[in-house]
Amino acid sequence: MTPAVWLLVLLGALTSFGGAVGGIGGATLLVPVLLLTGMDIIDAAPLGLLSVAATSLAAAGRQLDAGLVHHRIGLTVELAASSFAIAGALLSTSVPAPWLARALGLGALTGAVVTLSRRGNRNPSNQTFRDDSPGEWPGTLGGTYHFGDASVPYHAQHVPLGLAVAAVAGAISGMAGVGGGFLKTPAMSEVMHVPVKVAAATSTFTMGITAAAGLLVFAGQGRIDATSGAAVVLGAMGGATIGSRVQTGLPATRARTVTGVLLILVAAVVIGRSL
Amino acid sequence: MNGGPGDDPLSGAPHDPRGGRFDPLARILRWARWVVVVVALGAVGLGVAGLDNPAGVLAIAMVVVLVGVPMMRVGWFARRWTVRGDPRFAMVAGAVLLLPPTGLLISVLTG
Repeated sequence: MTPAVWLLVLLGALTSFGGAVGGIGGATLLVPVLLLTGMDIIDAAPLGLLSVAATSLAAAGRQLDAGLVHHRIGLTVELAASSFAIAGALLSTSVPAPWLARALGLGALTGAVVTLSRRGNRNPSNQTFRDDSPGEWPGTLGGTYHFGDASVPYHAQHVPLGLAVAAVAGAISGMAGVGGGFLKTPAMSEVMHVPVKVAAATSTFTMGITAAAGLLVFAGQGRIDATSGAAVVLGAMGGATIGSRVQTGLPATRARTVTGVLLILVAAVVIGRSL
Repeated sequence: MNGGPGDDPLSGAPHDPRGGRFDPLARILRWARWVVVVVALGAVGLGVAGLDNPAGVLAIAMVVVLVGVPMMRVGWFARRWTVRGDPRFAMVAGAVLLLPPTGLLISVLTG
């Protein structure tokens, strides 16, 4: 059952707003809501990925200007995630829908626990870097970002473990039609010790690539409905544009709380429905 | 502040050689966002009016932009890092560029 067009526009807007603020992408919220309307996850997945792609594009310009996206970290993580996203999308038609939903719920719950279990800021500001442009240091997985008057240097750690989590995120993303940001953002911020705001913005960038890979597979399988897809994209562009503005000015600790709470809601809905 | 060449004359902030380095890319991304909004609006309008074929054509155009823009962005960085002597990450970006067409090829071949 497909909801009315106006409802898809509204759902796309609300979920992408929340997804952009929390750096987890709109689809992590949209797909569970579509399941609640009675839609099957096989039909909801392409709409989810369209919402992810729209969210990523809507936030891109602002996050690029703010120097929040670390493209080297993003593409390194994405190489692992997209490989497994393709495998997941190809397998999605042969895995039972309840198992897909449970995998999505478990992933969201893991992301929530990891995100909410930490207190305080891991990366303190440093006046040495005050006059540096925010952004990445060439040839490395390090950089600085500005928040207010402070400059915060950072460098990615535990990269192999972060890539392993990204691969799991990619597989779930390809199967369930979500961007995987609910695992990629905690993987970058909690495993690789990248500041949460950089992790959220970088994750939003990489989700666009994951979505592109998955959408091509769904297009090849003839699973994209024109009107429903356009409705979700239309709402998602509006919601994510406003959400990315809110996210850029949000303190890191509050951004983590928003991410964690949203993930708990997602896990509760998805796991509850699959039981 | 020493007031060197290129410094901001109003604030006295030192010239930042890295400032504005992503402006061309950011401009393209903003244009693409508006293209997607207009095309999606058209597809929804035509779909609601029952004109499924033109709505389908616009939806395909929308998907092409949504898939193409992140790939263009990755290609932009692959080229930039190649030109600026960062071959390791240029290769990572090149490998990421190969993944979506590989996925499409596999999905078409496997039906």
